[in-house]
Amino acid sequence: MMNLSSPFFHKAMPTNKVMMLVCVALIPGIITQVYFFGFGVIINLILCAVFAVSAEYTILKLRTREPRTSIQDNSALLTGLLLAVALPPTLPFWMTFVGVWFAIIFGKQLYGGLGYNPFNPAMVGYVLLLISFPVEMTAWLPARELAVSLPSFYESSQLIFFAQTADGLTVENFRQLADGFTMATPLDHLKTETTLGRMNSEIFANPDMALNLNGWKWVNLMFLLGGLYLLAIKIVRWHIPVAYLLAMIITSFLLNTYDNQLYAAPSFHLLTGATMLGAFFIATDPVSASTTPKGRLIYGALIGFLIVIIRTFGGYPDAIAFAVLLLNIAVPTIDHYTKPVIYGHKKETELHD
Amino acid sequence: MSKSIVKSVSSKSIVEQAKGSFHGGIHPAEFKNISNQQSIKDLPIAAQLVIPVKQQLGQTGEVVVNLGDRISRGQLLVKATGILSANIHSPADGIVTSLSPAYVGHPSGMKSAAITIKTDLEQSEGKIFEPIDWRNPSNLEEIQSRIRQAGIVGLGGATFPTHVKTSSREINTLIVNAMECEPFITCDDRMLKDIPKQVIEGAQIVANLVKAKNIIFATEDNKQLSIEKLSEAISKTTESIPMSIVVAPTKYPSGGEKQTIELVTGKQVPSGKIPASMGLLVQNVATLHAVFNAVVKGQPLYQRLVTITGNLVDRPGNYWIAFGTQITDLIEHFNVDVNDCEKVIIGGPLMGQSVTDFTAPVTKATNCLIFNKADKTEKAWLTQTTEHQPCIRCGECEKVCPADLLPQQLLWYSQSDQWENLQQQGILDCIECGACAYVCPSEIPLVQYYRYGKSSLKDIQRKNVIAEKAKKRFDFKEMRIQREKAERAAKHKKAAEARRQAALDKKNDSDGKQQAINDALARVKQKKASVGQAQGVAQTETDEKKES
Amino acid sequence: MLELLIATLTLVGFAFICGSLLGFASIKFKVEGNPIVDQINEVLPQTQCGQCGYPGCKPYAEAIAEGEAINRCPPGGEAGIKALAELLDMEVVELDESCGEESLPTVVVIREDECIGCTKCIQACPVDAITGAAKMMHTVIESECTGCDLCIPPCPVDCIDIVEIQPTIDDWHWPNPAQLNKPSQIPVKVIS
Repeated sequence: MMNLSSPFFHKAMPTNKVMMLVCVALIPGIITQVYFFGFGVIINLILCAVFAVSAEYTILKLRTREPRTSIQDNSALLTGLLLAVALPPTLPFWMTFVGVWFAIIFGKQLYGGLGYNPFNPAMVGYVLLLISFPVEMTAWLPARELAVSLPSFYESSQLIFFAQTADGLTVENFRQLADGFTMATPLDHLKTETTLGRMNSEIFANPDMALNLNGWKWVNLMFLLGGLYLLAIKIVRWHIPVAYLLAMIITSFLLNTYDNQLYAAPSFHLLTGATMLGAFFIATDPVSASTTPKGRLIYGALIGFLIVIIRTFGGYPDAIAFAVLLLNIAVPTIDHYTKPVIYGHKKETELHD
Repeated sequence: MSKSIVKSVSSKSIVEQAKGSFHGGIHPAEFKNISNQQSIKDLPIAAQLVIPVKQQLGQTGEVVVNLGDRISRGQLLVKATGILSANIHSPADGIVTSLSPAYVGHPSGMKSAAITIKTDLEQSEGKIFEPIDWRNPSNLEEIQSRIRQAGIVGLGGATFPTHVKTSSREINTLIVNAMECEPFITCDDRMLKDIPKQVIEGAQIVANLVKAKNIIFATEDNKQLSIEKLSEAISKTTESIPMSIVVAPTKYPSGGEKQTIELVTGKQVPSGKIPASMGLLVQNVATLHAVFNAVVKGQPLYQRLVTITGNLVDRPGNYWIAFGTQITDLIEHFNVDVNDCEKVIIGGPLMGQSVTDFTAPVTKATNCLIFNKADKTEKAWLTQTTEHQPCIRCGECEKVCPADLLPQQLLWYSQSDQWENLQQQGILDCIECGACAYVCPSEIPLVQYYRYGKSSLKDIQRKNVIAEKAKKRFDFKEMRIQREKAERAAKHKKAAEARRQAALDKKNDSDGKQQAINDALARVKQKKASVGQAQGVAQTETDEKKES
Repeated sequence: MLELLIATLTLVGFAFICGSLLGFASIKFKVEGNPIVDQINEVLPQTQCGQCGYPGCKPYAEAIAEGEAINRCPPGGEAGIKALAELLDMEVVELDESCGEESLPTVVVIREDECIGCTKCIQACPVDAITGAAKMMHTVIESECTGCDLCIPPCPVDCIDIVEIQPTIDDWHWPNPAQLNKPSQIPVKVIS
């Protein structure tokens, strides 16, 4: 009779509950997104959840694994939700499908499933979509106060499934402002205007920009709230978010100090785009992040640094996905050089102080 | 002289807070008050005892009794062989009824050499040694050999032979490990409550032996009553070596030797070194009591204090139990409902070991036996291997690891059989405390993965040693064959040389007939002397003649 | 024209310097023997059984260095192939069945009352693990026997048995918990 080894005592929050609580922590951010960008967000969430779980189920069946336990760990659901909140609220459903299935298959299952994926699956899906469909992926609606009218739930579903409403309106119609211009995300706007040679003072003086920023600010603050909740219940440890946000502040502050007309202020970087979502929900994915305490600090800081750099100098307006994936590649190296000092392995001098 | 020190000690508080702290640790539910409310009792000796021949770390000893021998209590059963070995004595008067292997509670489920004794109804006192006056400095050698004779090993669970540790004479501080950090176990706690004086005397004997200048009792702050009793006993004592109590905050695994040292001194034991290199000796409470028994009472180590606990036991508490007492006897004695008891935990729930074959006996390593009804709903007991979820590298384990390891990486390399990387990650520094598995959200049996990794490393090492030996012998054989060949070749060459020389000589002496006659005479002589040798020469001669 | 000359001369000059350096280094830092052969030999189990088709582990190591397959060593088994693959940066392959199967470690034992003392096994043993003299009974030094079984074919009276080494409690191996989940795959051995 083979006996199981000690310990016989166990007390921990099970993995599926951890995943579920992360999903719960997304709620304030999601509600704010719905408020500012309409019900497309909800439809995306439902689509992504269904696609993610069905992708996971199918692949596990193909791999002849028992799908029930893996589905129950809620990791696929979380991947779907994280991708959903990063997608524009009116993205055609088939693009969502492609993104989610790619994320689950190529980002996760091909490496062996949960725990073995070197990359953040949600970001793998996001980057695929961004590179393949740059126009649709940057077609964000203007925030509530700025928009002429936000699509209703019915209109959103029509946009998502049929690309136009019953009245023949397309996404472009909804994106048009009162003055006939369209406005993408603040990050997008800043990038376009800076390329045109405009100064920051000029760009930010635009009242449309201010209104739009306000929407994004609230979304970010609510994701921050969810993140703080995760910190409080000790599901997320402070290292990555703190290092990430500090590095963003420092990098953008230095650039902004160097030339405040060309480079945006730290407050702009912190409260726009997917900054807070990235800090607390994306970069903190434990599977693909660095696993040593020191390594997590380096990992977070480099992501924060890269985000500002790519946003400022790169070709795409937002950079969370690229920064996270780049650092995912660096994780083995970081882990290798940041092993903690094992008990009794400190140098002699440190021992006898 | 001794009195002045005692006064100075008692004038200031002898209880102080721990200086250091160690990384990680967990706070599991304690379950200690199940068994620590009742004072120590004796357990009657069972009708049959099964005594494993090996009960300590190191070499197996040599059995010195025969089948059918009548033996007396305290008689030597197993004689230590080598330094890292310990004597085993009979816990009872009786007859040796079997020497065949028995189930000894090893995790493999394998049987191992054991001595089975049918015990007598009437038992003698079992104090076979003469008491030693340990305060007399000329008796130090005798005390050291007494510790060895009595078969004393570390009773905290590690069973390291104590005489090896006490052979050092450069100890500064004796640390008495009374942390007892694992849930359920209360035997050291109870010992300090009930018989603190004996433990103190044991500590004084050992401190005196290793020339320690002070003694520190290290305990946790959840044992207030025993701290009180102990400090009271210390303040009343007249012993010469100063004693103090260091109290650490309750946290598992503060009772690990390395962790205790870090708590008490604030320093870590350098990897690959022993505490003695820092002038420290750590001994468990029960071990010191065993030393007291051996030196003062003359009683060898054949029983120990065992915590009997769990929700299936009708009289939980701490009992003096003879080694070899089988769990089946305990089940009967404590009215345990076997139907509810899938398995018994020997030791604590975090580092102990489960047995399902209840014929397993109590040994020197058994500090606690837990008879608990499996509570599957609260996950307090993992009763069987369930398919665990994959590691998500959340780092909870790293947060609690007292050895500052990265358990998630150890798991990664153990799972993928990457032994070299596993060793580089420091698997050998793992103390198997189980804190990582306790907090793992995926319920991975981490410790078993480490044990699997460790035994694989050990296997590889053993195979390398065998391979190295085989290679040497193979190379040697090759070399020998070569050498023999070379020797043969040299011999042939020499013979050929001799032949040529002979031919040459013959030529030179062609007209000297006298010489030829002399040669012939010499040949004849040689022939007579040794036929075998001469034959060869004669053969050569005839050959040469033919040629010429 | 001059430019062409300069370029050519410079290149030739460089080539000469580099060549001289290489030549110097090859003399100065000359390595005796083939280091990779020794490294391979370290990995091989040294049973000297010859199942790979070579007369010993060293010759097989030399052959591997020359490009022989790494899967011809049954005593080394899967772990051995893995170690070789890692050392040589090659793919892990299955053991070549034609060489034999991986088995538990064994030793041989001579049934001493049947031994006629022919010394044939002594000559066959690659590690000198059999003692005895002509017309005297032979015996195997168990601790030195590698289980190569080379002594079995020469024995004219078939008095040599292969015995599996029984695992003892001391060298018991904790099982891989990953395999505990699949109970049917645990190689169960009943020990009486």
